[in-house]
Amino acid sequence: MNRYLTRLKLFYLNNSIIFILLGLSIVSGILSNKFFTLRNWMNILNNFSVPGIVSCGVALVLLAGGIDLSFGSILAVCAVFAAYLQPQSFILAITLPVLLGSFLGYINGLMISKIGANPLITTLGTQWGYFAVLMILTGGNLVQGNNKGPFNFIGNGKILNIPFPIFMYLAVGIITWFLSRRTLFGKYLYAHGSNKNALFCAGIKSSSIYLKTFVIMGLIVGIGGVVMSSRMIGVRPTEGSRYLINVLTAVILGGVSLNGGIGSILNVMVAVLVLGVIDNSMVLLGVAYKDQQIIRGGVFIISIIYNNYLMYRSEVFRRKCLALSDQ
Amino acid sequence: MEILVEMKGIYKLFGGLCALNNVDFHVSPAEVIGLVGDNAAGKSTLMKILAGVHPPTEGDILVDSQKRIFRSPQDARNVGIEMLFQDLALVPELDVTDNLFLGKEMSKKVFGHDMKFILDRKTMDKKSEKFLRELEINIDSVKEKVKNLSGGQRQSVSIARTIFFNARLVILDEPTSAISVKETQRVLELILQLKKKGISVIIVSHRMEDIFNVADRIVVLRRGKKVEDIEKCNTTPELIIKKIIGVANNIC
Repeated sequence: MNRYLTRLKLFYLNNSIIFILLGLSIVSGILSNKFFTLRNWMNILNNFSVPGIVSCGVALVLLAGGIDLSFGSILAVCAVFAAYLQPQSFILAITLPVLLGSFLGYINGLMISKIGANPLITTLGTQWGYFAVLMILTGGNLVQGNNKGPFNFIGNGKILNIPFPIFMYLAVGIITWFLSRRTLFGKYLYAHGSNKNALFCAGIKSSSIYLKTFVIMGLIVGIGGVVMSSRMIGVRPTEGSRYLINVLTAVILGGVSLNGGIGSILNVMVAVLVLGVIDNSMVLLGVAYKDQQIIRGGVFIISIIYNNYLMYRSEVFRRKCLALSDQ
Repeated sequence: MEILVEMKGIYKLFGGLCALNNVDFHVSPAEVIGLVGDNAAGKSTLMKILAGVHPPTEGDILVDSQKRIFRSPQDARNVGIEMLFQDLALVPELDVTDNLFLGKEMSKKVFGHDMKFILDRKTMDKKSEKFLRELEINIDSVKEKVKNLSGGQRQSVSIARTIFFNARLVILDEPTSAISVKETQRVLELILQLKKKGISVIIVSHRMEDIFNVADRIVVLRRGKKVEDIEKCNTTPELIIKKIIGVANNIC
């Protein structure tokens, strides 16, 4: 019986975000009778498909023990590039931005994993760098595609009455989760975040794993850029910064440790949903935009505190279990 | 008696500091050696040279009578020399199976086709369980994260991994210093298991009772020089301690 309770508590500690989602949903449902409608939930998922996709990539880097703050700029660059290519060729518009995103991630990874630069400062720098280049190339102007052709389907199409971006998000999420949990690369990724010295002692090239992680993040953000570009008629170069706080909040709320090695992509996806619910409730309740920003900021801070608290309680629980098992 | 590994005339200088001064050291197959000495005697340095972490400033290492140069721990591992480092080179967030198979994972076969990058956790779990049972290592579940194991269990997993990696010589640096009495006994039993399997073990330790429990031969280093190399049955803890602190001879 005791062991069953232990496993239950462990499950709660590792996946409490699910209970938060349930609780918030119930509260929102009480506050607004429009909340529990299919249309509303489609809206939530659709609006948070792009931040959801990006969160998967950022979470991977954090799990590997790094951090990448340039995702907003990479997103903007890829989205603008996709909008630029779209009138010319559908195939190019869906492939080249993804390749570009991978390349920008590669640049980050090269500096961080091969040269050993500090990830926080480096990606802060590339965040500004990529954005600056984008501003120069676009002159700060909107880049407009046209909403003709198959490209439009990515952001606005529906399958079985479900918006296509949701399928993109679920696909990216599940593939990323599978990559991180079921493959050799994912195992080494977690190992790198937890104790990269162990990889060295086992004869595995840890810098290679680290570099690939940044490339994959860039690739995922590139996909997000394509989806984002298709959803909007025109893309402004400043579009990326809008997602900064939501993505970071989702990753932290999703229980990913900022030190690496701890966390799950599935929990991040649930956290994205939580943020979607909060955003949606604010709209349904008619909260003013500036107040919404304040609340988002508040949620971010609460997420950090909550993340720390979770880690603390997990550690306390671990020590208790160890002490008990010694008897 | 045949010799597995021989270190000849090892000098190690760190800047102006002479950490090792003309040290000769050899190990035979299935032999357990206790390497003792006070702090800064050079024990860790000598072992790190053997494990390929540092190159010697001067001197040779011979494995199976063949001269070898180790440029990294991987070179040493390739000839079967494994050293267990302080953090045991375990990944705390991964489970026991993942740690045992770190670097030698098995991939899943789908319809007879080897999907090289997908892990076959089921098979690896079964093999880990069988392996740990053979070594009589007591761990409830191989799916337990290593960070949730006690110090002694972690040591056991770390040692078990070296057998897994077909080591011929295992170097243990203070294996019993941070674990409980009960677990110390288990680790020592595991060391004797290694010997039974024909694996040589070098234990670096401060604890005389542990050394005299499992070692066949005892080597004493003092201030970078070897001052004793004797079969356990020909000596006592008191004599060894005297050599460690340099009472019997006034060598500086």
